Amino acid sequence: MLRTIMALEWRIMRRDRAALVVLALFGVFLALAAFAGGHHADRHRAGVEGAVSEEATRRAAHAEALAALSPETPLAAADPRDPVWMGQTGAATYAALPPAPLASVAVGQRDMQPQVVRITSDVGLADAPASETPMAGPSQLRTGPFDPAFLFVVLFPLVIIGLSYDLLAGERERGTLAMLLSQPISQRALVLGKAGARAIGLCAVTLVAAVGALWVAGADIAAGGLSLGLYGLALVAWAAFWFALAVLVDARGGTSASNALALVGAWLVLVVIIPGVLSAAVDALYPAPDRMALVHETREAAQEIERELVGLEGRHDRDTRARAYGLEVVEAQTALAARIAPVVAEMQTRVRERQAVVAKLRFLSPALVFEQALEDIAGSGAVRQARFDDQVQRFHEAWRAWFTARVRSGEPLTAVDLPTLPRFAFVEEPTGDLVSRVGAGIGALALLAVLLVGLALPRLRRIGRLSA
Amino acid sequence: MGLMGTVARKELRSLARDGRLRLLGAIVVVLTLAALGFGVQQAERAEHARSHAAEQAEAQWRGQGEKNPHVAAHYGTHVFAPASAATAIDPGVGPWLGRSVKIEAHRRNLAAHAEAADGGAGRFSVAAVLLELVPLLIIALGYGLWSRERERRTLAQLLSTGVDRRVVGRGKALALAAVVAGLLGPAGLIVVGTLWALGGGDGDTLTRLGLMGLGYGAYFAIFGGLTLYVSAVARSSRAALVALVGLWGLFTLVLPRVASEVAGAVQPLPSRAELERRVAADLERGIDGETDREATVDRWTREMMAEAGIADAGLLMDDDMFAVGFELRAEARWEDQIYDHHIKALDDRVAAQERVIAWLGLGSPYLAMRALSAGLAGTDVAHHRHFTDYTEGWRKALMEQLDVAFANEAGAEGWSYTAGPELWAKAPPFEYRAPGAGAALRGHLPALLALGLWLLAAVLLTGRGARRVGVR
Repeated sequence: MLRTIMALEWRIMRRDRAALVVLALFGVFLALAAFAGGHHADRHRAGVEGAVSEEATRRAAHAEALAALSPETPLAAADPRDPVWMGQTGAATYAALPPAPLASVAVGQRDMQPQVVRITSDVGLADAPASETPMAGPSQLRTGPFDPAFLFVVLFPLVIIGLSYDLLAGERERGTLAMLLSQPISQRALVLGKAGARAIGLCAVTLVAAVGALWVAGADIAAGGLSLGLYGLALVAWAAFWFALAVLVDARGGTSASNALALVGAWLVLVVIIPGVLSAAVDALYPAPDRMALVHETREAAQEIERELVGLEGRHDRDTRARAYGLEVVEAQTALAARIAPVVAEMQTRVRERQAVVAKLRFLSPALVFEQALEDIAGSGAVRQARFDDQVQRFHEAWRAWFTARVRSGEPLTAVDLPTLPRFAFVEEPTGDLVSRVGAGIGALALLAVLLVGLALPRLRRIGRLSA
Repeated sequence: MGLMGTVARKELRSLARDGRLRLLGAIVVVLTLAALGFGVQQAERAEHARSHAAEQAEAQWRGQGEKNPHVAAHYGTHVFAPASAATAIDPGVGPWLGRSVKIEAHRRNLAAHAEAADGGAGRFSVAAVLLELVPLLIIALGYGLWSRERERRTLAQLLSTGVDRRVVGRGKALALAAVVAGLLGPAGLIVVGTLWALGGGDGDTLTRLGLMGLGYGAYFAIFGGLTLYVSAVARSSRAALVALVGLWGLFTLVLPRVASEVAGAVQPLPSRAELERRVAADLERGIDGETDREATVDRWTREMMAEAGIADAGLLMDDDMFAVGFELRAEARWEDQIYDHHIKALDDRVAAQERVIAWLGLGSPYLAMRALSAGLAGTDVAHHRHFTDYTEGWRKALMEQLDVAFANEAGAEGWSYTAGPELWAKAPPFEYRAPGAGAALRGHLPALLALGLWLLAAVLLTGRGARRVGVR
């Protein structure tokens, strides 16, 4: 019987012009979003590639110069043999967070957090590192990108509401419900069949469109098999949640307009209000550490050393090639790094605490659960970014240690040294961790969907009576 | 007033009887007040952080001890963007812009330490509630004003009495306006009072708040007019609601993102590192790529020394201990013109992005009002640029002062010359004043135009809807 209901519902859906218009519109938006998401991912990729090729060109020039220079020639300005200059400028290297295969799905943290960082032996006073990722205008950042994640998190539920707000109410208002219920079918089968048919139809179309969008965006679909699977499951779980909510609202027996109002209200609360209020609450209760204050605290903590260091750099009469100068700079920087380390570490602890709170609070709104799952799938989530930041910090320490030792030893660099300089390679999070985190989100959405349908079933039995 | 007032009273009564609408209204008011509380807390925290950091920077600058003026110029200091009281209701693009600028020799730094970089960019503010939620409230209140009357068959009865439809339409519009004003009026007074208490009681802030009030009034009227029109011409209440929510989504969700993507695509910005590379290349060879840095700096040094009355500059140049202060000033001139060129290009790009978004805003009253609101709150890109330009002027003055002190006082001591706290205390005062409300408005002419056009369209559509409304 259920199959008959579903088959009939599909036939109705195919002839429903409004539904087709909504789907077509969503398809157009998805194509645009795929294009925009791909554009963002390409810019990121171009930043990484530009940095890599700039470094390669620079290193090649150094290798050539080092091969040509004889050890006896005195050090010139910007000399690749000079370990102070090489560590600070000449050999500067890049630490890059490579875009994930499905990067075009969600811009996530990418537009605010540096993705490619230039590493030198300087000790930054917690100032923002010069990133290779293209800047975005403030209004662009405020508005957020038009990427598939936005479309699926924010607009997709409205499409589902458009397809499901009048499942039963519509039949009742057209006067066809009584006729339907005169057939040997249960109310449950009728509603679940209708909702199921629409859900399956929409999910099929959406999954095909989502893969098509990835293809439009030029994503590496073959390399992202697992992510693709998670992406599909997340989309289905999200759709199931909204269809289940629509069934529950329909089971109250209201008019289709009041159903639409209730569903739009739920959408507003879950997608717009709760995420907004939560982020405000997190800001109020767990404020992000103030980097502006941090700059001054570190400056305060390291005042004498910084003054000494600036004193060295500000004196244009000093011979920066002399060994004594190099040693002084290195010692001052080492002392500076030691002095500011606790201040920076405390700030990082607070950042991590805040992130942990945000990760837990996501379960207060299914929209946040789904959004974070998409960001994790796209490799632009907070966890991957935090891993990158930690690895960059450790790499920076290794880089500094290498050059500090070299300056202390007094040995100039040679062509042999270039390939042995520390290199950054991002270590991805173990696949199991990613799958269990995203899986928990998908599981929560699916569970919620089952729960909502469970709540709706007892009410559905009364439907025939309500319409009488 | 007679008939119009009667219609309005009747609509008010039936709106007030609807429990869902009472709940919705209460939610909007509570959210407005919660957003105000949050905004005030954030603004106070930011102001506290700013004044604390400014005091620290000042103390560090003055307490840096005896040193060569140019070493002090390298040590530098930080200056901080002030925030007006209106930030508490509309943070605008503020969280995405740097709040402090490092002042130092040889380079013009971009503003750094945007709140959003640390994750603190809540999208929850009084402005967000007014821009996004109040239009939805208006839609929920008004989508059935004509259509429900038709569905209940009361419209035919009403019109059979020979009343003028336009008067009935005006009555409905009046009822809608009264409900929105009744809900938001007291909340608006609380907002203004709170800002007053926060120190925003000066004439300029009040002018800005008054203009903001007018702007939001027009914005709500636009949604009210559209709602009444759609309610009159839609087939059913359900269709009216679906169409209006779709329109709202298009205005507030889709178009802003599409506009910002278009702006980003047609006016792309370089990366920070790319900008630095371009500056570094030009510092070597000039903006035209062909100027010799050393020869130019050398020539300027001689000219400056000649201006200062040091007659035989040629002789003294050999004794570089003496010339170094002049050389630093000439170098600063060289560096400044290159930084100014590149940062102006960057700022122009960002302004061009804003213009693209502003013109696309003709298609969405939300975009227009958002831009106008941020402009009046002093939290838009134009205000930020006004601040960073002032800051750069101040940096140049400070550096010039230090280099002049070096040039005039060092004499034969050269790099060994040191100055003390009395020189640091002479730093030019940093007295930034934000531009007035007039300048803020002039920066948003496309937004004013868009709002004006939409308002006109909404008024015309309200009348047209009333004339066209059918009884079945």
